[in-house]
Amino acid sequence: MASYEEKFDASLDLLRRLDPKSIAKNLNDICTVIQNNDHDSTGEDLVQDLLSSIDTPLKVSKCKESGKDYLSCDYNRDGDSYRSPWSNKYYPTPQADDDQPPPFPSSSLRQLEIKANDSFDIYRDLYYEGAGISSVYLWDTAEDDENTLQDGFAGVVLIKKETDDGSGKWDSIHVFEVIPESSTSYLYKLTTSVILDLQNQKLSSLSLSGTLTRQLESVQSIEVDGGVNLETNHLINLGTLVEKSEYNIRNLLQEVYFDKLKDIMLKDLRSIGDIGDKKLEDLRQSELIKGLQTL
Amino acid sequence: MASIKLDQLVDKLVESAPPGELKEVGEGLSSLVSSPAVINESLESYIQKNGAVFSGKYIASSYNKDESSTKYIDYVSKKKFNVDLQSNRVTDIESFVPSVTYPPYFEDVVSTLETYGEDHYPSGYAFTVIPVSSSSVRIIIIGQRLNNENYYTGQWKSNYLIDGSNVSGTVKLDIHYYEDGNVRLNFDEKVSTSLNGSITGSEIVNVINNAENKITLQIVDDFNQLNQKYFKNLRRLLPITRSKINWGNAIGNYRLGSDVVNKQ
Repeated sequence: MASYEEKFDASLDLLRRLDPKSIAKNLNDICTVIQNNDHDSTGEDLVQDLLSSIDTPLKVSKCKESGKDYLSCDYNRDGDSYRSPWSNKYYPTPQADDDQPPPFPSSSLRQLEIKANDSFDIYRDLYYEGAGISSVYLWDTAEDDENTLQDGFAGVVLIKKETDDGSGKWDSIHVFEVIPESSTSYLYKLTTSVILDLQNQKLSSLSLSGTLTRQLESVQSIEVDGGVNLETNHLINLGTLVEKSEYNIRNLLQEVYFDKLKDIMLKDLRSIGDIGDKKLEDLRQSELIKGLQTL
Repeated sequence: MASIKLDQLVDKLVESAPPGELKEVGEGLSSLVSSPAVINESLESYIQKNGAVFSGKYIASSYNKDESSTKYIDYVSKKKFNVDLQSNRVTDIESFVPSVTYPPYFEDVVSTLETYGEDHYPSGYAFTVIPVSSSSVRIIIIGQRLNNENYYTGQWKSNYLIDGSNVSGTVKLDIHYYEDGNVRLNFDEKVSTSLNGSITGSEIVNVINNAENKITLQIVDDFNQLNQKYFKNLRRLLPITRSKINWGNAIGNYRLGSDVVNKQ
């Protein structure tokens, strides 16, 4: 029987081959297959590890206290409950468990989280034409919660947008880590994934869907003076890095979805004949003329 | 948990496999599922349902499955064969005498399709013609490229029934690109047309060529539509201010100007 690592790798390999449009369903089915085979804790660990390493389209939850929508993923989850970035409360209210209370960011990190949510809400407004939802979640990685901004932390920026008619669906997932390199310099490590789904069923059966992932790093020196504190410095550096990474991946999506796929069709699978844009244009013209003649 | 049938789960997973990566999907599943028979059955039914190419030129599908054995029939070369998923090749080839009457244009359509494939399918090309009756054939064409070194595979598959002078069928396009990601193109469209002139091999292929050129152009147009109408403004390349964001304490100033931003 295959080892834990072999099964984990095989699951990841399957999920990067099977149709990304049904990624959530496929992930669920693979987990069920694993649980059917391994009734012990190994199977349970494997399922948990898969759920936290595979990006699926973000779920929208409602924050009862603020009345606002927020985004849910494995990073703000506790059991079946998800923490709202607006009220810092879990919905639905988790069952009281004194041994394992639901996780919350330390108070200084929560202050940064509030500001980050505010900033990325403005970012979303500017880039997503006023539509969509954004949520930012931070968590402590340092041993001493008191010094979390000095000693480093981690977090995720989530953005989701769907066009009104459902023809375009976008999910951004930016996971980052802030690691101190010296007392005045920090390493920001970012992994960006975008899940993009495009199809207008009224027009055509053509469907383009999937996900691309890229990493970006940056080392920034921080000088705390002139009224700009460490918190604001982190916010500026993270905002700039996420903005740059999303810019890059948007260009990459454009390239892969529209240039690469079209090239594969015309140059590898079925060509119109003497392929070349000129010929393509001529054919399109003649089709157009034919169309006009039959009017 | 036991009530969920393993074979149904495996079927569902195999169903969404890219056409050119059945072998890899089978290997992945075999690390998770201890019963090879369950996986093989799923792969076999995928092949019958969707059709697949073996040894570069033989097509196996439900349309040319031999009912009395595990084999598939190649009506063009009048042979029967088994398929081996591991090597992607045909095995146990034997001669076969079909009982169905071939239409008079059969040979002609086969030789014209050969030329047609050379002209229009730049990578691997396979086709088969299956006589349905003395006046009807089914034509299956598969053009595919398996470029795993560059993280992509793709398949164009057409399936036509020529019945008298009626031509009906489907064109499916399935492309998988997976370098640091998993992106899939799917296209599935019905074709319905008819022969203009006499029922000859070259007229049949001519009508197919026209239909497929039209579909190719339509897909190019659909690409442009999705790009311009749905992708472009889903997430803007730059904010309406045309400059990157001024992060930090001053970011709140965008809020003050947000009426201006949204109205433009």
